[in-house]
Amino acid sequence: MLFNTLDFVVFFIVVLTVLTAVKNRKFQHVFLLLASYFFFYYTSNYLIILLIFTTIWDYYFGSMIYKTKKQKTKKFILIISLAGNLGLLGFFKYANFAIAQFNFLGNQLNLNTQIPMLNLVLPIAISFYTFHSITYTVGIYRRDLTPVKSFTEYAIFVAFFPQLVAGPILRAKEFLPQLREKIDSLEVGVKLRQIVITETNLKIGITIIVLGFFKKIFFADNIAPFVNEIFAHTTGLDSFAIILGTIAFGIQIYCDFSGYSDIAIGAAIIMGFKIPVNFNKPYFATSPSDFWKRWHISLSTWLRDYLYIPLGGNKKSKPRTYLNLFIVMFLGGLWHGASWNFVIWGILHGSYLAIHRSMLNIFPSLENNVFFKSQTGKIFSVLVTQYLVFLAWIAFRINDTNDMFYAMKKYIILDFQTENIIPLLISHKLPITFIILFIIMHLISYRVNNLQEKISQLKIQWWTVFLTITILATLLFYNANPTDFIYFKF
Amino acid sequence: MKYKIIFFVVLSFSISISVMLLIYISFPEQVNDTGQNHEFYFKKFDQKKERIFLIGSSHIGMLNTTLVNEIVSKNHPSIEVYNLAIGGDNPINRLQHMERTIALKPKLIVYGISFRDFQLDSGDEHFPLPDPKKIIKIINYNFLSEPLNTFNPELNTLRIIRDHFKDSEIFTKNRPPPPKAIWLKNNVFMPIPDYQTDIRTTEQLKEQAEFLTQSGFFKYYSTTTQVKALRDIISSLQKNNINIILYTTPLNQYYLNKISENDKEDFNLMINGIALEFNIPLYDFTYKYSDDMIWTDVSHVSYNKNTMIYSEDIAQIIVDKIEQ
Repeated sequence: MLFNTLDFVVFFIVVLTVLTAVKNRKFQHVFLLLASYFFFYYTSNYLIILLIFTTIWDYYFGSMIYKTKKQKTKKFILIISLAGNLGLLGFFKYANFAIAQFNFLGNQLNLNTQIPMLNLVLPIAISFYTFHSITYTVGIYRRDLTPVKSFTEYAIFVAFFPQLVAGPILRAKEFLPQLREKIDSLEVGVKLRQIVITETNLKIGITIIVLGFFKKIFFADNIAPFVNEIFAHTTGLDSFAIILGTIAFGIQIYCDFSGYSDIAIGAAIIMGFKIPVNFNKPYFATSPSDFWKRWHISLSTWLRDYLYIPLGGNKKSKPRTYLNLFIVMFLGGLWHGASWNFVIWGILHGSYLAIHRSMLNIFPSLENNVFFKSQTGKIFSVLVTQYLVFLAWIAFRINDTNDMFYAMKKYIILDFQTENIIPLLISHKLPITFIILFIIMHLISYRVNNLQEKISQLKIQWWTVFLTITILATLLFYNANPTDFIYFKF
Repeated sequence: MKYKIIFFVVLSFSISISVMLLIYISFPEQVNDTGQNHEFYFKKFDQKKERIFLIGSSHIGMLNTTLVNEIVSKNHPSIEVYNLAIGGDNPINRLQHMERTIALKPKLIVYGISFRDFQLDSGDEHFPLPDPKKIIKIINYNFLSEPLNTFNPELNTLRIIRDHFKDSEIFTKNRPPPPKAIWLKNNVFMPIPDYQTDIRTTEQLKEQAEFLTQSGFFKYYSTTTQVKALRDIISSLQKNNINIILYTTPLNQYYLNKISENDKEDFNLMINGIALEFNIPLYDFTYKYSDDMIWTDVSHVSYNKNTMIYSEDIAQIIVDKIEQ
């Protein structure tokens, strides 16, 4: 189910009404699970079988890991569990890509091998729920958590509808205790938690949801046609047109994805669940590593904890650290989709991180350099970082390699031509207005911390004014045939 | 306090929706569009003359209405043919025009239809298990009035912005001139763009079909609300004793090659079933000129002196029906 449809609004109101009306804890939990399954079934139909399979698979393997005494056997069970998860993900997401590469290689070597492509559909959200589920078995293996007391609890964790389709990626360790009553800050109780909608949660949740819709419908969807037009075929465009398209895409993807995350976080908060923040002003990052502390935080921290650290992190040699960073970002790129452009995007970010780390290793004084601590130095760092981040967005957006490399070349080596840019500016005044408006609002938001919380703390009449203006702006640009969120296809 | 918050949220929604509707009411659609308020529907016709309407999408818009009129009025001078085709039309859209169309009391309606009329239900996919989306769609279709079903705020807002600024210098300066178009006398909603007077080569058509494949152009779903809308159109016409002829619009071979045999069979079953159910004549033009050199693109016959065969054939069907 798409968040930006009337169907979701009706669905969510029904869920909240039932949860408010029926206080029975067991019923509330079963109902939440069924609602989540319905939410998924609504768009994915029979592909819900894969979600249920993943849930059952890890539920049983989690228990087996916990019950097993021998460390070696534990490891073996974990490997089987991971093979199941990643095998499913790999088959549905990467089988055709692998076949295409194999056939290409065969042609190059005149092997005359043509493996037919598999007629597979890409199951929505498979990348996300596979990663959720892995945190459970690995968590038990690492003794970070104990198995859940009931299957329903585990199934809710995997299928919890606000974050099911496009994250933020949940950790079992963080979410599962929220289904039980808290005894104190560390210990959770035996009793299931009653889902209660409180005033504070309702107000902040609605604020976050409304802002999420605003980002997606007002900004992302209005900028998208402009981006599509520029990136449909970049070859032949001048540098300024490419740069403008790249900036527009950077804004579109931020508003689209962070808008989705906001709606997910807001919906969860209303029901009393805390799910991790996914974005923290990423376009103000001052270095590549800072960027990944601000962009898709739930993925970057997942990759850090479940891939980078197991690979050795920065505990081994320096070259190994650089290689680890590179591998992690390469796989992170591939996680987004079975296509070379995502691989290149990952490789670019892996290189940025490795180069940045090596520079800090070679010139440790850079970290405490007075210039980089000053206002001018920070602005300089932000501009350099974002220049690189936006260069990588070109790879993310364009999957035709010729068009992609052409666009990258034009982005790096400016041609100072104005043949395309002027007609583009003239004929796209509305998207340009949205881009300027976003930049202004984004700059203002940089100055204010915890904007959403501050808005929700406004007096009720001012809060209503905020809601009315934001809802009106969103409604005026609401498309009755809504477009998918970009991250849906991952 | 919780209910106070809910009250204020509902209040915000109500104010926002009211303001939005107020804006839309203040800037109504102009009459020279393709909506139900088009001046054609309020025109006073010569009482002595009977009217025949050609309806459907741009496939029908490519007919030479002047020629059709000439052929028909040659033996039946009291009959006048109007082309009410709308670019991108489909049964759901057309259904909104039926009340106004019926009010004009046409003698006969000739409705051209093809695969594309049923492909515009985006999000319609074939799933092995029951699809709640489809059920909700049908509920909406049956219980919501038409304006609500087709209401799209974004399009309205963009139209208002465009209309409001169209005369301002900044918006007209350097704007490319609109493509030249031919307005035939009895074409109501759509002119024929100048570029559609060219006849494309086989190579050009083949290339175009390949390009369109990538954008999912050649899709067809038979079990959609569009089929229901088509039935509603026919049924409303029959209730008002208006004769109707259905015909499947001609398509180029490269278009047809892209439609799977299953889909073709599905479509034929559906359209023949409807014709049989309502007892109306159905003419199959789908393959009639598929190999002929008369195409401006893979789904439109060119408007050209060498492509008159299409208009002549349609005119002949009308004449036959009148003389029956």
